[in-house]
Amino acid sequence: MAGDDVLVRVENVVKYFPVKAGGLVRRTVGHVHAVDDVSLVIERGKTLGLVGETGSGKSTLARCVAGLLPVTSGRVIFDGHDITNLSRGAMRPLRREIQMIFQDPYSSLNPRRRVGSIIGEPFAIHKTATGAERKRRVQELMERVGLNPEHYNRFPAEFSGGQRQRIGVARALALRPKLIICDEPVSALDVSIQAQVLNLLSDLQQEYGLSYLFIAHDLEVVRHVSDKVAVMYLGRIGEAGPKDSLYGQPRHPYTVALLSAAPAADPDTAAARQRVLLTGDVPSPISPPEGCRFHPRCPKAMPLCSAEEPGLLPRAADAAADTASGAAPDPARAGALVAGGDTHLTACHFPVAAGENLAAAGSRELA
Amino acid sequence: MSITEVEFEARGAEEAQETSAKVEGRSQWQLTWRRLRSDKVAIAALIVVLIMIALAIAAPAFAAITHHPPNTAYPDTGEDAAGNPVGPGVNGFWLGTDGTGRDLFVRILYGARISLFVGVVTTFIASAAGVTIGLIAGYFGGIIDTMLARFTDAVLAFPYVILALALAVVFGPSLPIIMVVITFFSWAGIARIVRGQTLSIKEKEYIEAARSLGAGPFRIMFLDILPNLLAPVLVVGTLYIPQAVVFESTLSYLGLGIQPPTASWGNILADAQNFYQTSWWYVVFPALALLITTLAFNLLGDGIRDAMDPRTERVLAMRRQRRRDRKRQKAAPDGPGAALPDPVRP
Repeated sequence: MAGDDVLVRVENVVKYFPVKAGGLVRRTVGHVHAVDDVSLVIERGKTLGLVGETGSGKSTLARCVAGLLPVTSGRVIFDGHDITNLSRGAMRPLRREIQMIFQDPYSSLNPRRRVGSIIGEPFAIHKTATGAERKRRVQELMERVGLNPEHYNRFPAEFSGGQRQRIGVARALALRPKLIICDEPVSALDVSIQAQVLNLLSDLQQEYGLSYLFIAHDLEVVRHVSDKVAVMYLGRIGEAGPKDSLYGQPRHPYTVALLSAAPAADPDTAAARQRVLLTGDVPSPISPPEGCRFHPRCPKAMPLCSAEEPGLLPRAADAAADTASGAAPDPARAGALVAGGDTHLTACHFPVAAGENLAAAGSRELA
Repeated sequence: MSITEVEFEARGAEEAQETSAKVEGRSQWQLTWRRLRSDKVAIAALIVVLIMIALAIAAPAFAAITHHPPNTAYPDTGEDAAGNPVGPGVNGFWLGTDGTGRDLFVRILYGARISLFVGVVTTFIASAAGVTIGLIAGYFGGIIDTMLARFTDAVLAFPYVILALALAVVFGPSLPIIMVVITFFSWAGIARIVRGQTLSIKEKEYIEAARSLGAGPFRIMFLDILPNLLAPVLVVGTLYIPQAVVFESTLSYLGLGIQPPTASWGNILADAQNFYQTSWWYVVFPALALLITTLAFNLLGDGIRDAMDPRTERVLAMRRQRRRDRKRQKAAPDGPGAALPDPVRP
């Protein structure tokens, strides 16, 4: 794996939010462990999908990568530059390279500003185009994302959800960034509109060689767009690997449960498969469980799981395939390699084997 | 599921929508104006306010028409044998004269100039200051917010009449001093409203989007947050003008505002106290001017608020009434059968 292929390298990023309490003098009584020691790699021109349930730290991680939130510790390296906790002034030139598309097309566009002004905002901030030139470029962008350039003077309220998300895409695209962080860009849209926006994103990726960090909780959407996928649970990455390998042969019990919970379009498939039902709630991220974060809900949990934190490593069959291809399963290296190369990594002491029936193993069965 | 198929259908649907009736784009202000126009009370109030402003501007013209400059006393024509003011219409004094035989009508108009000037200018300065302080406190938060918010609370809690009296005594009563005092006690309310709104708006995704584009804090505050605040600030500002007018009159009434011979509603009313038993017009007309002006501004402010926020109960009631009227009209020619409630839109 050549270093040039890597656009973003996230190294052991930790993000804690202080929990304050008390009356007059507010003291910190604890921390929300939103992102806890996450490492991953985004390759040039590729899409890294990030899935996980609500509260797993996906969006926080995205904001750390985008430089919108300072990280507690760890490093974010973008295109060879360490951009961790840069000041706003120092970050400014890099803002052109990293852009974001937001989840809610209704709240991500200022209702009091016209579309032309919203899409032209990046040009105004970076003083790259003014007056007629700005208008021309904004209209080009509008056309590129499938909006009518004549609607330049309209307000966001006059567009549908899908059109609004296109406005968001146009705004993110304005400065020709290298990386676009898509924070659940289609979660708020109708299924039919989701497809349009996803196809637009993939066209743009091919046209401009964009890299995406694509966050979603819809597994099928992530599968559709991603090259690599990482699964987050309670601030940690539980499993990461190439899309086909991860979906075809999930190793982490949480991934298995997540996949089994996804709705299947085919009624026969839906009837035949077995749901892995997880018991209990997601533990509080203020005091995450010891050892493996998933162990209180894991159908395969063993005493070891609550005692020792499993590393994110190539496991069993994956490791064999990996050694065969020449890469040694070196634990020290593996952490930084998350989702880099074609390694399938799992943070589990007892990964799920092929054909193993998790539903029968621990939880109740769903007929 | 084939994504392309779904997309194809969806695109078709969207195109169909595109070609159908062209929707005219309307801005927030256009919509507000439309709603305001249908509010009869607000429009009446607006007309009254405009007439007041016109009269104030035209005060010298009326002085010229009546040949009665505001500060000139007419002991011969303006006072009766006993030295009391003459009534309305006597000797060419439209609204009578005051205690020293000056034209009351002209003096009320000149008083309107002072009152409206003080009301509008202090409210404008106070709004600008309140918006800036509220935005800074709300956006930056932390220690800055704590300090500014406490300061705001302190100003709001201050017994302002006492401070105004103290300042007027120390610096001597003058127009600039009363404007400073009124401004100082007006910005805090606006700052508090702006701060609260800023706190909620700054959590919106479009603010994060602006930050991710590299926008600085002042750009975000004034280009992204401020336009969303203009509506409440406008409403509060309109309601602050009459307060400032009354405040100015109060100070002048107490002798600490506008000094005679310059006319102000407050000092006219103060002088009128000695004559209320003999010359009713001397008290009634300046008091009416004050009442009508403040009432008109207040009603206009209420109207603007309702027009900005159509969820207000009054507008809903108006709309219900209109719908009932329409239904009755429709029902009339067809007989009682057609008056049944509409099942789709109850």
